[in-house]
Amino acid sequence: MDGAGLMWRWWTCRRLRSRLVDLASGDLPAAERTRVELHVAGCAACRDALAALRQVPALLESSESPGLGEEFWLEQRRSIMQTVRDLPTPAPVRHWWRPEPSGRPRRPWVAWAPVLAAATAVLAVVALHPGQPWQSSDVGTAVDHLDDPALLSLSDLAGDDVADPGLGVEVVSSEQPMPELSDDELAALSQLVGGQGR
Amino acid sequence: MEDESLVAGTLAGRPECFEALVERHQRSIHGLAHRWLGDHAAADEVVQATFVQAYTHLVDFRGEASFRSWLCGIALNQARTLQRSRRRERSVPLDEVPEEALPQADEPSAAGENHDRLALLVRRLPPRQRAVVNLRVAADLPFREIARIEGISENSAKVSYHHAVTRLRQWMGRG
Repeated sequence: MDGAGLMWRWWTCRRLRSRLVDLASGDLPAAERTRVELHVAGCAACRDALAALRQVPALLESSESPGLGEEFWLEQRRSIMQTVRDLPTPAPVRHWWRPEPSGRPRRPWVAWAPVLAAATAVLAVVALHPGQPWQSSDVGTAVDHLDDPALLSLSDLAGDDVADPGLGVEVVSSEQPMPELSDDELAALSQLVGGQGR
Repeated sequence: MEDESLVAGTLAGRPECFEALVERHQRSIHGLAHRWLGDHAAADEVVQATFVQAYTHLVDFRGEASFRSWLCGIALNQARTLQRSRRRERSVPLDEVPEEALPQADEPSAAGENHDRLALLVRRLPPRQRAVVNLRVAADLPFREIARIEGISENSAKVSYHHAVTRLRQWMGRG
């Protein structure tokens, strides 16, 4: 046999290993049996392997350990059941946030329940607070409180009407009357406000 | 009564159903463990641990494979765990072991027909081949279920079995 033939036989033997196992145990379909038997007839290695697959398991089965008495099995069973009876009955551990463990959930809405609950809560808040519920109605009140004359400003604490003399910023005290504006100043101011309004 | 019905009965709180399952499978599980570990005391330990674990995890049995196959998978894991712990307990530096006590892995068996020798040879197989042979011969499982237990393809299980058996035959001095 040439190199290519040897290579082909080696490859066929490799591919037929699982088929030989089926042939030895009688599980090979009839359609494949003829093809495998044909190969085995011409291949000494596969013939030996097939013989081993038929003999060795039979020897192993017959090498079963010597029979233990019925008393042994009874005692073993008793011991197992004694342990088992002390254990709680096996029951699936279910978590409400997890779907059923096997296959598709039987009640798909259960998996969506937390999402639905959250959505309902948001809708309820919107319905009870028309407008823009994320804007608190207390904001205006809080701002109003800032005008409370009882509150102390930083400048009050400093005890000085000029916050920073270097900057020349004049702090207008709420207790002093607003300075009178001249007509020119009023006209310039109205122009400025009108221009911004457009 | 079918295994699946007994499982359902156990889950419904009837321990006598589980006892029936133990009675039905304890021998084959013991046989599998004995082949793996080589002594009855250790095999008994594995059987006890296997059934207790099976009971506590019974809800995980989905019936995708047979109950026996599921049980064999647990037993094999228990046997491997016990073997590892024993190995750790007995570990002795190699230079303290007498030369004649060391295993001669490549030497063909001179015992020939000796069945006990054959059981010893099975324990010298590589782990995957050893598992496949034991599950096939001792537990009589189909290759499809052996493949599922070992996490390999059915074809790989058959090829491992082929290698194991041909190797055993060589070791027995018949190859």
